[in-house]
Amino acid sequence: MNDMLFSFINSDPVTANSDGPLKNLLISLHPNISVAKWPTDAGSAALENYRPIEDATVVKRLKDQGAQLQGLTRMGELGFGVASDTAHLLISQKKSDAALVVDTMGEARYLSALAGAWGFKPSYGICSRSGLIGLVPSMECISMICASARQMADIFSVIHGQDANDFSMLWDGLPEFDAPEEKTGQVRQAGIISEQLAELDSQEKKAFENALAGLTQKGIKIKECAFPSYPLFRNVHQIKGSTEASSAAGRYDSVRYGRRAKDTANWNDMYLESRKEMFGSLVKSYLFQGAYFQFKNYNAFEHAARLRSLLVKQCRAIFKDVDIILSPARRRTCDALKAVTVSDVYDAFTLTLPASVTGSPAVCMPGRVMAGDMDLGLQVMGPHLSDKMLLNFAIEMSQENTRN
Amino acid sequence: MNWQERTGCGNVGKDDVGREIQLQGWVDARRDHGEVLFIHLRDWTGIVQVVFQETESKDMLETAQNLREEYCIEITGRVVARAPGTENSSITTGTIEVTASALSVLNASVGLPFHISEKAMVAGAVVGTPANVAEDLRLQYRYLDLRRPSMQDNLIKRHQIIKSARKILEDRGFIEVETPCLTKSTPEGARDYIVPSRVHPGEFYALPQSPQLFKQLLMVSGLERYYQVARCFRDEDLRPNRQPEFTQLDIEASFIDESFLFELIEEIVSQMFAVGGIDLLRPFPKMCYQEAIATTGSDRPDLRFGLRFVAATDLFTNTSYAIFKQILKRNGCIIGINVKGQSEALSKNVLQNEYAKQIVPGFGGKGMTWMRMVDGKLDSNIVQFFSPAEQQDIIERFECEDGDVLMIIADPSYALATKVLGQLRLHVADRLGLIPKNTWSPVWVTDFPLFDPTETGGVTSTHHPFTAPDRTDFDPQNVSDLLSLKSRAYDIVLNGEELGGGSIRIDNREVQQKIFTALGLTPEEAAQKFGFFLQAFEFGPPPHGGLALGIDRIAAMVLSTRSIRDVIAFPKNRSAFCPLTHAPSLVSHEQLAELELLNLGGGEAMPGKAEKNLLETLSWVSRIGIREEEALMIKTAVEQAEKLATQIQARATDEEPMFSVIPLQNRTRPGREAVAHFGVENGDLLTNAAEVKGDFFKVANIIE
Repeated sequence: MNDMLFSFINSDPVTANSDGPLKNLLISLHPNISVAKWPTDAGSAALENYRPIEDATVVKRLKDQGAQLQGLTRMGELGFGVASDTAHLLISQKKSDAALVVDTMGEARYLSALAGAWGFKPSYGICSRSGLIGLVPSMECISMICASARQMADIFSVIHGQDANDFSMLWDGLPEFDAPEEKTGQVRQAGIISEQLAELDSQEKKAFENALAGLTQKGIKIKECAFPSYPLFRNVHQIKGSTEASSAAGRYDSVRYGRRAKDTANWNDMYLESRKEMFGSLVKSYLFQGAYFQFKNYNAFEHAARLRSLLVKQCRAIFKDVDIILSPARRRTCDALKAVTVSDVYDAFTLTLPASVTGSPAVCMPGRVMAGDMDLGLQVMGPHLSDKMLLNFAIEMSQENTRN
Repeated sequence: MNWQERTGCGNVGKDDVGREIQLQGWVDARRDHGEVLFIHLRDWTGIVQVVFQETESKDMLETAQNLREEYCIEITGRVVARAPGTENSSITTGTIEVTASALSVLNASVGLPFHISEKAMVAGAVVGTPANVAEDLRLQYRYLDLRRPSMQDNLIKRHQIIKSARKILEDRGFIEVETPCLTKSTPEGARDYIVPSRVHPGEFYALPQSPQLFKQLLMVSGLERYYQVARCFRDEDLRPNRQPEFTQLDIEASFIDESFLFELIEEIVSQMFAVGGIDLLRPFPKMCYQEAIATTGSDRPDLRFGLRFVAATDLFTNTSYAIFKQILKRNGCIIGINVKGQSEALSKNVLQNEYAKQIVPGFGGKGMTWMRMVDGKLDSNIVQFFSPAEQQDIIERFECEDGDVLMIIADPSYALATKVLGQLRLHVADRLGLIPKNTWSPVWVTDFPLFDPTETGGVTSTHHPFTAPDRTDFDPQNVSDLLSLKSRAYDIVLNGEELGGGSIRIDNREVQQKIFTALGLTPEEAAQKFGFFLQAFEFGPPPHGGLALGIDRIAAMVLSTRSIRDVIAFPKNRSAFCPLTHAPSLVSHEQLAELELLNLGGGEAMPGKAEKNLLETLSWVSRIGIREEEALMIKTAVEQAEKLATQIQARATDEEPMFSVIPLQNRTRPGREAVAHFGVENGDLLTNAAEVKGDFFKVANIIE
C-alpha cells in the first residue's frame, strides 16, 4: 500500500470480533484520534513520537464491532487546515471504505466533496471526543468521509453515544440512533440562505441551482431565507476557535510528550524554545491570534461568545420553517489544500463554518453540485440532534443516485 | 434557629444514649439501603452517623433519600448504641448513632468539584485526601476545601499556636500594638508592594516588609514590651513554599539583653510546638556562625544527624595530586565528610557518575573527590596519587573504618567549598535515610558577621543596618576591620529551617552614623532614607532588641503539613495568584485614571513599563518563541485578529455568552469516583516524555 497516503500502516487490521456489524469494513483514521501504541502525532512535532497509552472511545467501539483499522492518514498540523491531508485520497482511490477525520471548520465535508464521496459531521456533543487530540474543544467533532451513505450511517450508529469519559457531551436527552431506517419523505422543506447565495460566483450559483432543481423534482420545496447575521459566522468561529486553540495548546509543553528544545537555561526558556520549534508557522499564527484574545482582548472573546448565542438562536428560528438548510460544501476558487495563511484557511471553509459554530449536524452529498468536472459537494445541514433524519435522507438520496 | 438546644456532632457519646438531641451540619457521606438510609453528619466538632428509617416516617425517609453530599441540614433524633460489629472506629462517635425523627434541609448544595468527606462510613473503606485533588482546584473552592476536618484542624491548631504565644507574652507584661500597613519603604532588602495614593496623585505607600522601624520607635516611645501578630509583604521571586504575604510574631523589648530574649523565645517556641505534641529539649544549644559554617556549611544547620565536616587542608600541604596542589596554591581549602558504613549504597558508579559528575556541579561545585574504605585501605579512582603517608593521615583524620565513604570538596573559595559540601551533606543524608524521624533539634545561631563583602570591595549589612555590632571601636573606612565585626544578631533554627531571627539594636546615634558611613551612605543620604527614624534616636532612646518568628512556617512544621499553604486559610498559589478571587487582576481604565497612573511621566510611557511590542508580549505570555522567518506572517495574523475584534464590537448584543452549544454539566458525574489512571499506576504515563528521572518528568531548572 502506498505509504505516502498513510503516516502509519497497521500490519494486522483484523480485530477480535471479526463477526461484528462492521466486519470487513476498512477504516483509516486521522492521526489525532488515539489508538494505543500507534504514532498518533496529529501531524505536529508537538506530539513527536507520541504513542497513546489507550484507545479513543470511538476506536474501542469500532474495534468491538469488527471494523478493520488500516492505519493513520496524514493531516494538517493539529487539524488546523487540510494542506497535508490524505484522507480524501484513500477514499477516492478506494483504499479505505471510510476515514474518521476531525471536523472543526468543515474538514470532513470539504474533503468528502474533494473525494466525490459522502461526508458527515454529527451534532456536537453526541459522539465522544475522549481520546481525540483536539484543538478547538467547543466545535470539533469526530466525523467521517465514506464511500457509501449506508456505511456512513452504520459506522455512526456504532461510534456515537454516551461516554462517561467525555464531560463535554450531552448527558440528558441524548437521542437514540441504532440503525438507519428505510424511511422516506421526512425532508419536505429545504432552506437556502440569501446572504450565502450572494457570495457565490456565477458558476457556483449555476451548479447549486442545478442541484436544487434535482431536489425540487423529488418534491422538496425550496425556500429562500434571510440571515442578516450570516457574515458573523466567520468572525465568531475565528475568535472563539483561535482562543480555544491557544488555551488547548498550552498542554504542549515538551514535558509529558513532544519535542523538547535542547540546552535551555531554565523552565521559561524550555517552554519558549520548545514551543518555538514544535509548532509550524500556520498553526503558530492561529495560536498567536488566540493569545491576543486570551491575554490582550478578552472582551472580544466574550463578545464573540455572546454573538455565538445570537447565531445559534437565529439559526434555530430558521429551522422552525425548514427541515434542512442547503449550500455547496466548498468554494470553487479557494483551494484549502494550498492554504498558507490563517486567512486562506478560513476563505476555503466559509460555507461550512455555520454548522461548526452552531453544533449542527451536516451531511455532504457527492455528485450533485457540479461546476464542470468539479464536485463542490451538496451540504445538507439540519437542526441540532437531527442526525438520524439527515442520515436517513442521505441513504434515500444515495439510492436515487444508483437508480439514475 | 434553636441554637440553644444544639449538640455538636462530635460531642455525642455513649453517655447520651437514650437522649433526644438536635444536630445541625453538613452531609459528609451517605449510604442508601432503600428502607433505611445512613448519613455521616459533620460539623466542626466532628462526625456522627444519623439513621433515617421508613418506620419513623416515610416522608422523612423520602426527603433523606434526596440528600446529597454537603447539604446543610438539621435533624432531631434519639441517640442509640450501635449493635456490636457495626461500630465504626474511623470516627470518634463510632460506637453510637442517632435515629432521626425529624429532618429539615436548611440549604441544598450543587454538585461538588471534589469530594470533601475524609471519613469512611464503613471500616476499612478508602477515602479521598486533599493530595488527590489539584491544588488550584482546592484553592478555587477554598471554602469547600476548608470543610475538610483535616484542614479545619490545621486552622484550629494554628489558632492555638498563636494563642499559646500570646498567653506567654501577656503573662510577662507585653502589650500588642498595631502598626500601619500603609507605610514607607523599609530597609529589608526585598521588593516592596506599593499602593498608589489617590489624594497624593503619583505618590505611593509601601506595604511593610516587617514592622521593624515602628517597633523600634515604640521602644523610643517607652512602650517597653511590645508584640504584634503582624502581616508582612515581600514582592520576591517565586519559590514553591513562599507567600507574597506572611504572618510573623514580632517582639521587641527595652532594657534587656540576649539572655532575656533567648529564655522568652525558647518558652514561646516550646509552647507552640507543644500544640502538636512535640517536646523540645531546653535550653536550646547555641552555635556560633563560624562553627555552623565550618561543620555543616550552613547558617541554618540541621543537627538531627552527624556528617559533620572534617577539615583536611593541612594534610595535603606537600601533596603531588595536581588538583589539590593547585587549589592549595590559591589558598584554597579541602574539607570532607565521612559517610559511615554506606559503601554499599554509594557504589563507585553512584559516586563518580551521579555525585561527582551531576549532583555536585549542580550545587555549583567544580568537582568532588571520593574514597571508599575497603579491607583497611582507601579505594578510589585517584587514590594512587596520594603517598602512603597521606593515605594514612586521611584514614586517621576522617576516622575511617571499612565500609566508610569519604566525600571531599576542594575549592579555592572557602565560602563555596563549605556551601557545596553543606548541600551535599543534606543530599546524602536524605538519600540514605540518615535523618531520624520525629527528632527535633533546635539551635541558636549567633555571632553572625555584621557585614558581608560586596563585589565592588565595599560592605553590606548581613541583617539590617540597625543591628548592633559586638564592639564599637571600629574604623568605618577600614574594610577588613569591618569584615571582622560580629553582630549581636541571632537566628533560631530547627531541623535546618529558620524559625525566626532578631538582634540587639543600635541605640547610639554616633554608632549608627559610623555604620552608615561604613555602608557608604553620606549623612544626607542616610537622612533622606531614614531621617524620621534617625531623628527619633536623638531623643534618648533606650537599649533594646527583639525578634520575629515566622508563624506560617512554624505552624507547617508543628502540623507536619506538606506545604505552608495548608496552614493558611486563603493562600496564594505557587505563582502568587489567588484562584478563588483571581487576584491580582486588571483594574479599569477609570480606576487608573482616578489614581492618575495613566499619565505618570506626562506624554512618556509609564515609568518601569516601557511599551512592549505586542508580538513580544504575546510570545512571552503564551510561551511560544518566534522563528525569524515567520515573524512577518505572525505579525500579519495578529493584526488581523485586532481587526476581527473591531469588526464584532460594532455588532451589539445582550445575549449570554455561549462557550459550548451543550450546557455545561457537573464535573462529578453520578456514579463516578475519582480513580488513579492506570498509566499512573504502571508508569505508562512517563513513556512519551522527553526526559524522565525515576517516577518524575524531568524539566529544565525552575529557578536559576
